[in-house]
Amino acid sequence: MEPTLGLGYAALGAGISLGLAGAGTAIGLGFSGVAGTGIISEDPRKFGNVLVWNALPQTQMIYGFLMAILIMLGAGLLGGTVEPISEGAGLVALGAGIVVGVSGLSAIGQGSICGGGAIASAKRPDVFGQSLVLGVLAETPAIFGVVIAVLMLLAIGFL
Amino acid sequence: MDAFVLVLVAALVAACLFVPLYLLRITPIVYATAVVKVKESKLMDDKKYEEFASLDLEDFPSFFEDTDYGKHITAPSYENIERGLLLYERDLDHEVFDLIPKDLSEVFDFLIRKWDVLNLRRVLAGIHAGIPEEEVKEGLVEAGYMYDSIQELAGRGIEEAASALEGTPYDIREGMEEYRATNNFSFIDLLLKKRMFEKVVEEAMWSREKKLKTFNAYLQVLADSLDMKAMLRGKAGGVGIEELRRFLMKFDVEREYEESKDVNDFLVRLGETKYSYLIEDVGEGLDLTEVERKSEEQVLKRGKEISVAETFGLGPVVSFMAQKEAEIRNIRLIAKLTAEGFSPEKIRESLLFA
Repeated sequence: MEPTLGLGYAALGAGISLGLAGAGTAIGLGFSGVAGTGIISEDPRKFGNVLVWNALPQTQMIYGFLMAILIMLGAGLLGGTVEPISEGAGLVALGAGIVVGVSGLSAIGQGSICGGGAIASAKRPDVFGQSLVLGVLAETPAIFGVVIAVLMLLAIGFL
Repeated sequence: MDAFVLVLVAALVAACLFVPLYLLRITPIVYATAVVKVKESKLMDDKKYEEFASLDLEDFPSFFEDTDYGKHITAPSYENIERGLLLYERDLDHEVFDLIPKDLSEVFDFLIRKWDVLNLRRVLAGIHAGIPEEEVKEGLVEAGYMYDSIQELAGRGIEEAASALEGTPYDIREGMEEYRATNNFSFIDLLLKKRMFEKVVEEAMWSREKKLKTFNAYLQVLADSLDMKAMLRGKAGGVGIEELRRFLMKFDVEREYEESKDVNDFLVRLGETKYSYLIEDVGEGLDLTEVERKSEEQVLKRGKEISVAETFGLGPVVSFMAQKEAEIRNIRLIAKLTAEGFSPEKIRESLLFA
């Protein structure tokens, strides 16, 4: 079957969802990862803590990946028969992808916080918990983005 | 609609290009920050100082065994500890220099040049005190840019050494007149410090690099402290304004210097000038060594504060260097005073704390 414009929008939404969220995670990880390597170069025993700080900015990419899968499943791009979808439905799916992708850029800020948290707790292990809470708080925009995107997909019957 | 999609794709491409550019910009300084923060966590705290100050010299090597100093402090003698601290400091300076982003290496080059000054100081002080050439050479630290040529100066006289230094960054001819007149090595010592420091100031203060903002602030504090100590020593030794000017980075309290009756009066007058922050904890009737220690404490305090003002960047690096320098100074002092038989209480009083 010839792909329709609606299907193209949906595919673009899937791409943007993972692409932007992935970019956010890459930048965020760049920050926390570099801080982490600096820390373990001085004290390899701190690898466990460093790993936790580097795991946090990864979640945005996971959200982007999940949203991309959901959009592709809804549009029949994964394993199913490709059904023609309307231009309107395709745009909604694109919107869902954009909201997850853009909110996934929160990984940049989260990476900065995690880099700072890793450094702070390397110097003072007693502030690990407090710093971690601040790092987790930066996850909020991404979670809200996923919620809205899921509601959008539900509205067009993709889920 | 096609235009909309095109704009969207263009925005994505731009975002993808932004990632490596952003990372390239921030990576070096975040790494440096992380490394120095871990090093900072290993600095000795009050409890450790308390324990250290009450040890016998024989216990020093085992005290340092599992620390960064362990590699260099291996024997229970003040000479070994002093030498070990110098070697440790040299290694650390090179390590920090390597951590600094390459675009700032010209400014932080002082970490390497500092060893030229220390070696030169050792050679000139050795000549002044009549220490045998071999002994002077043994005390030098293999570091800096002019190690070989400085080593060659060890066998010469001070006039010959001054001529040999002509045209180098450490030209001391300006201080030779006072030295000849008084036979006081402090004049040469002050000039060497000034020579090293003015180059850093020149490089850093005139740089448009925003990253140097905190470093410059700290540099100013260091310059104030060095100048103030020189002025106090000058006042105590009856040095005139014109002579003293040659040894200072900036002489902006000439009136106070000239009008004050003695060093105590000068100290009081300094309290009304930009140097007041360096002597805010100084009580009346303190000796000069104590005043200098108090001012060094203020320098250390300012150095520590810089790290809070700038979480990532040069702030933590500068702050760590200030704290490490104080720690090395404290260890050297503890070793010296322990070797001389001072009590732990007396030793503790002499230490630098911010």
